[in-house]
Amino acid sequence: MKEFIDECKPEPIDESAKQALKDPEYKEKMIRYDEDLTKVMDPIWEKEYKKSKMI
Amino acid sequence: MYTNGALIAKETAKKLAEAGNITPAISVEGFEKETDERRGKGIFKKILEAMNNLNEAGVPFGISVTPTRKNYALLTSEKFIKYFQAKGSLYTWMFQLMPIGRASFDLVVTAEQRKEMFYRTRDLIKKGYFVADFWNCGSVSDGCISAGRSGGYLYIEWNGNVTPCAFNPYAAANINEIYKRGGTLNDVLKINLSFKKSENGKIIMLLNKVIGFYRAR
Repeated sequence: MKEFIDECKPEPIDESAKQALKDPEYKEKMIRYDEDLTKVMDPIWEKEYKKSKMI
Repeated sequence: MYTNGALIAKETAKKLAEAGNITPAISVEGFEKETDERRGKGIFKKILEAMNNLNEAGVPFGISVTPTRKNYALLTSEKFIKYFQAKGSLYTWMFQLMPIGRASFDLVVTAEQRKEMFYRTRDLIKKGYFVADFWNCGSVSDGCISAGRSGGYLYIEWNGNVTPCAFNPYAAANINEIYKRGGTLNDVLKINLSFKKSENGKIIMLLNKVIGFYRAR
């Protein structure tokens, strides 16, 4: 997400959105949160969505 | 229309009924204690008054809630949903707290809590309540509904800035500028034609969609 925002440069709609792009701590926390979610939620996605679509 | 409801007096409710194309999603944080704690003392009573006014005028409305580490269990309880249903609320939108910028992560639901919410929300839906958790209900909407995908939506700010989603605060276009050049909302939707549904579903689908949205500026 960060990479293509850097590439395409859409306009941040407010100051917080602008700061979020420059804040390494925020980026780090988002990545860590995403990793935690992946471990816990991906099995649910596999079970509840992908497998149900195959039926 | 997302609103705290505080200004929906009888006259306003009547105007909304006459317009006939607006359904207010009123923000609450729980019951009186939780709502007033975050939004200010007396707000909860104003919300209930607004709901009465909307009921009297015949305007359909729902509630919008922000689950956090502190209140997620309450917001996904049947007691809570039933309470507002009795007040006339037709639906519940859930937007899990997601900090932007320098806001703290301390209140964001943990991964385990999000998992718990998935099952609690699903139980509510099975019981017939109209509840949607915008993070956890992707399995029933083929993933993220943002960026103007088929059957989805996009977000237009008060000043015309168009973003893929209310939670993706980066604008790819401005609808006022597009209108000035003789364009329409269809021109904004064309931005998204690069979208291709991925077999991997969720995130990849969202990224393809949003990348297309931004690259076509």
